[in-house]
Amino acid sequence: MLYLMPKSIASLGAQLIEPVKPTITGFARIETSPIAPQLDDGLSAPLADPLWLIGRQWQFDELRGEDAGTPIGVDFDVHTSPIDRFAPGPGATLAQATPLGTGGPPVEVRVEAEPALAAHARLDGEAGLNLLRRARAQNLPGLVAALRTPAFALELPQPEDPQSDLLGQQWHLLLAGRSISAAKVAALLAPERGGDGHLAALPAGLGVPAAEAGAALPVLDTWLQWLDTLVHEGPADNPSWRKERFEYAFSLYAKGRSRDVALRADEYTDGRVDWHSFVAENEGPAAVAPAPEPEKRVRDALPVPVRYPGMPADRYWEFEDARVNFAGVESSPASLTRLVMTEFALAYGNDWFMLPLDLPVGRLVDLGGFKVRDNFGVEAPVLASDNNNLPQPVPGSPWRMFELATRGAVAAEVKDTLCLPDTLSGTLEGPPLEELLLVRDEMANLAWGIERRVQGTSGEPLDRRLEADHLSFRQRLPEAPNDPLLVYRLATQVPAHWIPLVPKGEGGALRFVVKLRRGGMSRFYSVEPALMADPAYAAFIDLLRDQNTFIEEGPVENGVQMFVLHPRGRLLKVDPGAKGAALATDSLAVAEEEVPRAGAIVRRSFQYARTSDGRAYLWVGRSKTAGSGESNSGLSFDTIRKRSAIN
Amino acid sequence: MIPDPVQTTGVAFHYDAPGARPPQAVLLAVPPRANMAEWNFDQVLATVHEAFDLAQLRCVRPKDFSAGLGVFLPGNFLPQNFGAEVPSVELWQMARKYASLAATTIALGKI
Repeated sequence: MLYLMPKSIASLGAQLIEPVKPTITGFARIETSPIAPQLDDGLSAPLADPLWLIGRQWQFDELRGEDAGTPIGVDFDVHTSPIDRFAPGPGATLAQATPLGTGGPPVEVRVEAEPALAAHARLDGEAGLNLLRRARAQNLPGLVAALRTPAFALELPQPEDPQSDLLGQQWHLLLAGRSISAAKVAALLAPERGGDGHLAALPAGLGVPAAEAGAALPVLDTWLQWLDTLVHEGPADNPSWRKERFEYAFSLYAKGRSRDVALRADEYTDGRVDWHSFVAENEGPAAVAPAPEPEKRVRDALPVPVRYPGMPADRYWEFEDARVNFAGVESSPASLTRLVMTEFALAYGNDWFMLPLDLPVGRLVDLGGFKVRDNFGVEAPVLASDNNNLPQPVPGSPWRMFELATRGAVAAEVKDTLCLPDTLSGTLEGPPLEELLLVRDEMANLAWGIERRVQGTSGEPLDRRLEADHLSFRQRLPEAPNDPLLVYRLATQVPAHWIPLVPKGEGGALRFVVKLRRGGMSRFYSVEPALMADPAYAAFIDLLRDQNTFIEEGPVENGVQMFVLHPRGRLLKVDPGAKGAALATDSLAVAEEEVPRAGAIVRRSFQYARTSDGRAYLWVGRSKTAGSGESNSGLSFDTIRKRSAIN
Repeated sequence: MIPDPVQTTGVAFHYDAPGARPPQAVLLAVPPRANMAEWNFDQVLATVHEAFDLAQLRCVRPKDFSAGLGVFLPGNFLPQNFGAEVPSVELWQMARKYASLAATTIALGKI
């Protein structure tokens, strides 16, 4: 509003009154505004009077009634089919399968176990010592004498290179000649063992005096039972192990709806068997099986809403779990699985319900007649999360959750079933007996098998990185004033424990595949008498000649002898016992894709686990894990170096 | 570790459950008339409805008033004269002062 004083009046009363300045009076009012353009106030969710709380809930649709009910009862039947047979190796058939039975070794042990005693002289000798002590404690000198014959002699020779195989030297000094080979005794007794595993009679070849035969039988029997629990012996040349892939393959068999189903695990490497390890395949002819009785009938079970860490709260005034922040998940546009998972967790995680269900393991499980009842008594069937059960199925889509992958026309046999294998939970793994690193070397156009550890003569591991130094000899070149300054080298030297894997094309032009053929690095050493007069050099050449389990001795030509360094461990050999000239032909062809860019580490180690009946198993198994990237051997051919850089 | 031959698995399913949640406030109703012998259902229902209407009214903005009433309501007009000729409330100045105060407060609060 405007108050203006006429100028005439102001001039008139100039002496009488103070002139009043013109002023403007406006009006202001305070408005309440429950909305704001910024999000801060909304996100801070401030509290106010009760009507505000209710009003806010009304705005967020928390008070709207829906034509729906809360599920309060679930009915279904559980049908199971036992996974009851096992067969080792890839492409096994039902005829090769053996029943799993109860009380037998678990699947992991059946797959992985390999001969332990034969490969571990210390364990073999200690088990033999145990038998000798039992025999002496029972005062059976005849049995002791029969056992201490050359037939049962423990093979624990002195290592050729005691400096690198210290444990081998120690155990040789301690056990050799004092103990016997448990494996040899057990092998002799094996044919006399009955179906229950107990020794029925003494074998003829043992040579126990007749006076002691009666007393010797229980001693040997209890020792055999003890040996069985000490270590689980697997078959020689384990059929499950795929040498060229450093993986295990095996099959389990179960009854499907109308025929047998093979569950194939073709790439088992990590010691853990779960439903996703298997691919189902039809096996055997179709046969109409009688509809099985349900294993369990679940009636009126109470489902609870599914909650997970980081799940968005479904109320406005409710705190969320801050430990998991799905909104913070980083993802590239190409990582679709991550995007789908995050979106599902953030936007579609509500309205899911679950109930726990205790099930026996070693079964294929399938649920039938699944019905949900809500608090208004409305019943509705719920179908499995299969593409074909969707209101609008996508033709040809293989979408399903937690189901076995299938190969061939097997879908009907295992559709909507969950595979619940009987597995170990928690296996103790010993330090590796043997460790092999597989790497690519792009500079040398090769792959390498680097033997970090192998078993020494006693079976205890030895570090090949330390041993490799003993297997090379640095020759100083004699120098004369007029010698050229540059030295030509045919090939540079790589450490003795680096085994080359040479790519070779196979299969012709039509089915061309690249295999990595295991080779050996050649070394040439002069064996001229003048040089051999040096005791250190002669000892070095003798060391190379003595170790014929992994060093192949070539012919001497022009006073120079060739030595080829082959792998010392079992992982890179087709025949672990190959020696001398046989090493050259013992050439493993490794599948090229098994030596990825990231490399791979293959280990052999003792594993220890208990089964559900409480029995303990110790066995030697193998595993393969990711390596640490590429390596560079520095191998090059036709190089010229400065003399000063060599000497 | 000894594995259990019976393992606990889970059955999960999707079911369209109602999304309504309980209200965040307690409604304490007093009888509309003194010396009332007992409540009747309609009165309770009317009380709930009224509370719900009031809650919706609580969220009203001035521009939500129909027929341009928002120009006049709320009618808490306060005079404002820069020359202090008439009693005034200097809202702008207060708002500026409060804004500078609020800005620092919010900044601290966020840390």
